[in-house]
Amino acid sequence: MPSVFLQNVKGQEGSSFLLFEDSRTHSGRLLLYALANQISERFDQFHVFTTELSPDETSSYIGSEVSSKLILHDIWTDPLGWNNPAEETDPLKLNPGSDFISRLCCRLAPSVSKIVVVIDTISSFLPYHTDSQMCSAILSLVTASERISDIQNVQVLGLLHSDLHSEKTVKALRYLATTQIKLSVEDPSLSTIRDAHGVFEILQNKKNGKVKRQKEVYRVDGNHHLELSVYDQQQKQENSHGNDAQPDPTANLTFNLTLKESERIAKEKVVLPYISNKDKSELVTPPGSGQIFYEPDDADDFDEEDPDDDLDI
Amino acid sequence: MIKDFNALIGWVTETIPCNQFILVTDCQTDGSFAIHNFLSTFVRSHHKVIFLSLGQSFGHYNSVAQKLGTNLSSAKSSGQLTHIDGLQFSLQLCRDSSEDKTPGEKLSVFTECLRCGSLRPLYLTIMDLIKSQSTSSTPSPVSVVIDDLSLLMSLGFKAQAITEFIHYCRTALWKLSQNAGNLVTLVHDDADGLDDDASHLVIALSHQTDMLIKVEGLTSGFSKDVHGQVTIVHRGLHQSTPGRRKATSVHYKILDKTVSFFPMGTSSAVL
Repeated sequence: MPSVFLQNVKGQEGSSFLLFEDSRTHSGRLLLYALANQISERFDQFHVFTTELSPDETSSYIGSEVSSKLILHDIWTDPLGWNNPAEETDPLKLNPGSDFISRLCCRLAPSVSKIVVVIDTISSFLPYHTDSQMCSAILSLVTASERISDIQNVQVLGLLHSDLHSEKTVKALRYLATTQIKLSVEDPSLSTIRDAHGVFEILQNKKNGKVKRQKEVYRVDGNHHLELSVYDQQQKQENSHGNDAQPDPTANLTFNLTLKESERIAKEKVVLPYISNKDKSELVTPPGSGQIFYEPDDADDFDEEDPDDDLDI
Repeated sequence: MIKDFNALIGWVTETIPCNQFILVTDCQTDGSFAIHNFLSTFVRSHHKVIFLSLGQSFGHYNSVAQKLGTNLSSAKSSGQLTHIDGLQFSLQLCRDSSEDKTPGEKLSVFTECLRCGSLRPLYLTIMDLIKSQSTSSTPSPVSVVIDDLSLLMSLGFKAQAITEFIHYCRTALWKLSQNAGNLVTLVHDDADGLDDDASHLVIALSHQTDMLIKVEGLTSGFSKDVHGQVTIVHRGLHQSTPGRRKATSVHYKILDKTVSFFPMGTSSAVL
């Protein structure tokens, strides 16, 4: 089965909004930027709104191939205008609907038609806005092609720390998203899958109303290159691999646990002391002394290897 | 102890890593040993230290540091360590609210903070200290230690205000570029789920941190041989090699002068 995610990245025409939901145990930033790098290769400009990472740290997530297209909107250094109280701008307190766009347009090069916008993170804006203000701000970005004549295609990638917000807020943003990427809550370092950065679930809303859902595994190499595979297949491989590698505990024993055929026959010939043997008992037992013998009847399922077999422990 | 603890968090070389935001959270136990350790480590590594103490008096930190073999008093008098006494804040609040205040008298930093509902005045105080420290003749990294953030909540600030304050402290350090040290804070994570604002603070800060040090009591109850469990989680890009465990957990026991760390289940009382 081909990966849904890869198809989405390679073949998508028209604007869309990809929502990355992460939690404190599994950061979605690595996946977000790896994917953004990949999309940007065939786009004209790569805009990043950064609120949680310093410009230096953000640049370290950007691949060398697309760094020339990068336009960094730094909201990290002074998000609330504390350093310049004279200026009346609070970058985090964006004007809903217009500010993302106006910031974008300021730095739009001529003849640019396809742009990628990364919002890292939506969570930083949410305390200062209502859900609907935030949603309309994102929507106006996604539908920018309708209002700005040059722009044909805008891909918006937003990161959301879903454990920080109420269910209502997260749902509102999910409703807006064409593709939701939910990173697994499990700490990826504790994952059983080798050589992977983590697992995520992807939910894609197609234009014809179909919804595709799949679990995938991702890995990002040193050159910010993204490798994806479908989760189930990988799991199966891991499991079968695990079975092969299962060590045989009886391999290097100093004693013998199995019986040869001759040994088995010899063992069966042995008469156990508590089994009645008339000839033997007449010889051995002196008259007047008491002894208990076990005489199995037909219904008895006697197994000397496991005498408690019938107890159903 | 300092060597053991630093080995645990992966600081093995003489020059310690810089420009990191380190968050210590404690749950059902006391994680302040980590703060004492970082204070001593920074002073020994010749960092300029700005230390905001809200939890204890300077004398307390000094006597613990002495047990660890570091003299905070001399560091303070030589100007290497700048101490902001947060214990005074609540007293100032009482004074500022009293009637017999002469008009025109300067309000304390904290009253200003509470008036404007944000911690910006406190940030500007720290910012000024960072600037004055970094412009001295011998450039050395400037680190900020805050113990502990939960007390700011008790003093009446919302989690959002504290998150903003920490964000700005990070930007202030980052602006020093070459001389950026580390930012270390402690926050209580009492995971009873009753205080939404407190757990919001812990989650919001853990999203921003480069290294998370979780100190937890044992889930099985109190033990006199094992005082709790420490989990170190490295976050950020440079730590994210696949297949490598990013989180390590060990048990610890606090002794008179040191803290001993040992792999889980290998307490001397068990073996």
